[in-house]
Amino acid sequence: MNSLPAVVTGREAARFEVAGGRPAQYRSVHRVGGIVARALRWCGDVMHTWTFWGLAAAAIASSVLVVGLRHAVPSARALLALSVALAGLSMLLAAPGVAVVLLIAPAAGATILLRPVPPLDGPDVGRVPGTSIGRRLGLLVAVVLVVELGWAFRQTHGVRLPAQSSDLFTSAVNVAGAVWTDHLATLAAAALLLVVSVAGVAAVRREER
Amino acid sequence: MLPEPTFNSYLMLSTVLLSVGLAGVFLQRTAVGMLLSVQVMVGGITLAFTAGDRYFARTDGQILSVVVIAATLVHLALVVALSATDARHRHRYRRGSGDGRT
Repeated sequence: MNSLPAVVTGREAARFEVAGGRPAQYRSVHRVGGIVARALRWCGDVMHTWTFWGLAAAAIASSVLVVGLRHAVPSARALLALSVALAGLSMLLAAPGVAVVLLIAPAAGATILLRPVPPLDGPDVGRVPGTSIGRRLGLLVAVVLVVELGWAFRQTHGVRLPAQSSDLFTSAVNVAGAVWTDHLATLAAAALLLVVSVAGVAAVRREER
Repeated sequence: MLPEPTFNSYLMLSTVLLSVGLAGVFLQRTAVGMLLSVQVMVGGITLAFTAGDRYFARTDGQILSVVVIAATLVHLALVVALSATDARHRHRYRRGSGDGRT
């Protein structure tokens, strides 16, 4: 009765010994270990779920504020909150590189906006002509898009995302490697775009003076 | 109990952001307001790219997201510079007219 079963070896044999060599207690050690593992997994899943829905709610609320506020500076603050929420969602998707860029981008944008330029917050600054019928039609198209896509997503069942790698650093290294090998042309195009835009902005500023 | 987030949840969230931004483009009347609405749309697109990247176990989506964000910053710089020029011209015109009205 106290002898080790023939099929039990290695770590399980050690547990058998810890349990006093009794099969009943050996089973209870296993049961407790399984319960603890399941509880930890459940806590991780619940944390992930709550974090996702919290960040999603923050992203939607801040996007509505960006669109709803009439002045540029409060809208830019709401856009900063949106960027932080999107960076958190990117971290949940195991994309730390995108999260870092999303956090740096508002800082760069704020640097541009905080330059000593004439007030951009006035009611008629940069006003774009347009008919109210065109605006209402565009708004209607946006609402129809939401309804249509909501219906389409309800027709399909949710697809679980694959388990993420335990090491976030591996993801960043993979991205960096892909940038310098497969996507070098994309990197060059983005760099060229940045150089041309800097030259364009410099030309506009020089024309002002 | 909240439902567990799936790939569809991320796509749905990105669609909502895209639609809110699209509505903002039509609702806002100034160039800077429209630009900020475009930024919201770009946020939704970035999220969709990143979620697809995770789902298909690739890295292309993350790289594309970074390029899109860089292009949006370029857009921001150009629009702010042009709006500043526009504001300066309006200011000069008002001072020239004398009565403060255009």
